[in-house]
Amino acid sequence: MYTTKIKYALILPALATLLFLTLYPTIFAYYLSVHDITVRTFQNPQFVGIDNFLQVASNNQFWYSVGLTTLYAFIVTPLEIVLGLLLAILFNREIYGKRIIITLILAPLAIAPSLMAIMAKLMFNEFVGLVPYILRYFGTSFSFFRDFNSSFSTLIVVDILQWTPFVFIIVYSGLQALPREPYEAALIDGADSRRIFRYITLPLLKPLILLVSVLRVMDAYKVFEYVHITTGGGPGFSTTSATLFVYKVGFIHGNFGLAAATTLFLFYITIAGATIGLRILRGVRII
Amino acid sequence: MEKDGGENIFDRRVSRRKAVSTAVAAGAVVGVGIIAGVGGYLAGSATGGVRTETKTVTAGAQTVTTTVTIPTTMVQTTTVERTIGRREPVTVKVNWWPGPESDAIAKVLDRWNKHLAEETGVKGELVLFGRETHVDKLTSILLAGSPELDIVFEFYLVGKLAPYLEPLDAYFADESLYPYTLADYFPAAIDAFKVDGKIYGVPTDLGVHVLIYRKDLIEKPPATLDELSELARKFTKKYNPDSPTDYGFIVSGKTLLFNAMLWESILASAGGTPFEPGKELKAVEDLTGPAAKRALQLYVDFMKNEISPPDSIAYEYGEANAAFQAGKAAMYVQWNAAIGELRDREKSPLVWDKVGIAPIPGVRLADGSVLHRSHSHYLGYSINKASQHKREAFKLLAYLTTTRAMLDYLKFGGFPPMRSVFYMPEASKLRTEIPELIPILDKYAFPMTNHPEVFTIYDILVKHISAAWSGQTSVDDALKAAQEELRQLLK
Repeated sequence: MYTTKIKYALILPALATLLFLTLYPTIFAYYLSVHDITVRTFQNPQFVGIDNFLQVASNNQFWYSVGLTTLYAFIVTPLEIVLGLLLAILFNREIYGKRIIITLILAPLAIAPSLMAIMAKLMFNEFVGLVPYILRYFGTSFSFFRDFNSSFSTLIVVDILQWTPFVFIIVYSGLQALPREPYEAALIDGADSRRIFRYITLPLLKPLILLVSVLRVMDAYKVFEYVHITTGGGPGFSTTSATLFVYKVGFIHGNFGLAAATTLFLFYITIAGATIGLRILRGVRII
Repeated sequence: MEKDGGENIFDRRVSRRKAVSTAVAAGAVVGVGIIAGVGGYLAGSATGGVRTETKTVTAGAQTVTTTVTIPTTMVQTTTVERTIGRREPVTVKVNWWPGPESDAIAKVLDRWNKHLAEETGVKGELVLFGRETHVDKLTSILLAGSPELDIVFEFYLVGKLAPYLEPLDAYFADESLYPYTLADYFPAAIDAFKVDGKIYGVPTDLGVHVLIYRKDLIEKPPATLDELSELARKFTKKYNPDSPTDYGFIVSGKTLLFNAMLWESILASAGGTPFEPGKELKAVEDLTGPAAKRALQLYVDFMKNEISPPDSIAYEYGEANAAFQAGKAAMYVQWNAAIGELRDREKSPLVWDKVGIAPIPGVRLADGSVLHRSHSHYLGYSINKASQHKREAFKLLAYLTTTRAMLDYLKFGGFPPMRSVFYMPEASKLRTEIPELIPILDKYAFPMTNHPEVFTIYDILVKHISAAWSGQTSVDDALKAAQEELRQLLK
């Protein structure tokens, strides 16, 4: 009994800190979301009930940004999964200098997304960028931020460059940990490498791939730095992601109430997405 | 600021000399002096003598004569305070915008702390936040009513943050506290810090728009928008294969509110109404007028016809400079801050000696003259309303309005909008663009709005006009949409 009390007493400070750091901002976000609260009205905010939520729900630009972000997440995730998987299979054998190459592949993960965005801006710049220089060398050219299509495509490329290594390292770790017995049995049965991959490797990796997919979708849904730094959400409003929309409402327009309501809206959408993802995972008995 | 162009009452040598002579002369009545001096100082009454100096300074072809009235109150007070022994100086927390500006102010503060802290009883301590988080942290501190900062550095936001800042009019009106003058600032600079007629801050750095052009290629810079358009086409390889530059003009086209400000100078020079303090509603109503359409069409044509680089729809300050530095562009509208970098031989080896500055091209008026207008805005500092050392903070703030302090600030990397500093020969040596900027600041500059919704205004504006620049929407539709959204905001 005494030992149990000591245990609880010891975790109490950490628990209290955790609760304070999570509960307080959450409660405060709900408080903000039901008030008309800006920099000028901060000391005397007016209670407005669900007005902010109604404003968000009726805002076309919000829904556009949510749609665009969803599209973005569902484009980058499959591409990163496929590329990461291919890389993992490629490196799941003896290759000269494998460790050094893997370290280099993982390098983008060590870069902050904002820095990655700045590097991308420089890399694709017509006058000082390496990529346009190489293209010119081969007698061609491409404008990476000319309009919505090129800007959106460039954002996707930047995301893939940074996050494919994340998929790669997880899948590669999974491949390394797969049991040898099914492979030995398949070889005895005369299965070729294509069938082994299709009927053994892929099913065994499936839970891992689903897990990394959910993680990547959730992460891609929060895309902010690439858009903020490269296009600023433009041209016009065309590449504004959901998080950039929240940032502009909160920090550019200074409307904290509306920004909080928008954040909560996004939170519910993300929760719904995560719930669906988790159910899929439960279906494959990973959780 | 003091009007003697640099030698002021804060000079340590003067203070010591005066202190010694005053101490000897007042030796017999030291007891009375202590009481009168301390009492006078605390009450803020100016009972000291006054000396007057006249000084003439020349910058290029211009000469300015300034007459200075220097109260000796503080010198006498210093003497008395030294006699009775000083208390520890009060530390005033000075928050500044991180970067070259804070590097400059750090050295000015060092000078203050070394020479003047003891005499004035005020010591300055610099507090910096990260550049990205400066505004957010500052806003949070002010909104929370925290006294942790005494002097705060803000920009564009004075209108929004005014309820949390100390109005300074009463301080400036008190001659014992402020024996200087604000008259030597460029008028737009002080206006930028007025909210409802009250002064809430003092400017330290100016930003004004200019047309930057290749003076080795363009003998006479374009005065009108038509000339700009014609020259831009002439220096675009697509239309003139012999052009030494690939592009005639660079549009800073990223959906970034600062780019709306750059376009605003074209709008105003085309005869449109910019977002000046108090004229925001008129600016919105005039947004669908012929001047705004012409200004927007100019940029749309530059983009559509590839007179500006196709990727320039995502350009901001850095990319526009890079294109010019690479020798690929003939002209662009930019903040004056870029000039130092462009004229630096190491940073711009291809163009450093070819950088010309001109007023923003405009439209010809009925009298034959050309309308030039330049958006200007200012970084500056204010006193936190929740500060527990407002009076001490003001002493330091007052010093920072002196020519001497601001000349130091300029030397160390700042760019104060002060006419008396600009006319000093050493200032022009440090910044070669100063003689070219003076007429633009005097004649054409208008201050940016300090409306509480300033960021929102420009964010809405750039969202719509950049859609037109990229061809997503027509000029008319973009301006109409911007007008409607801005009406909703400002109603």
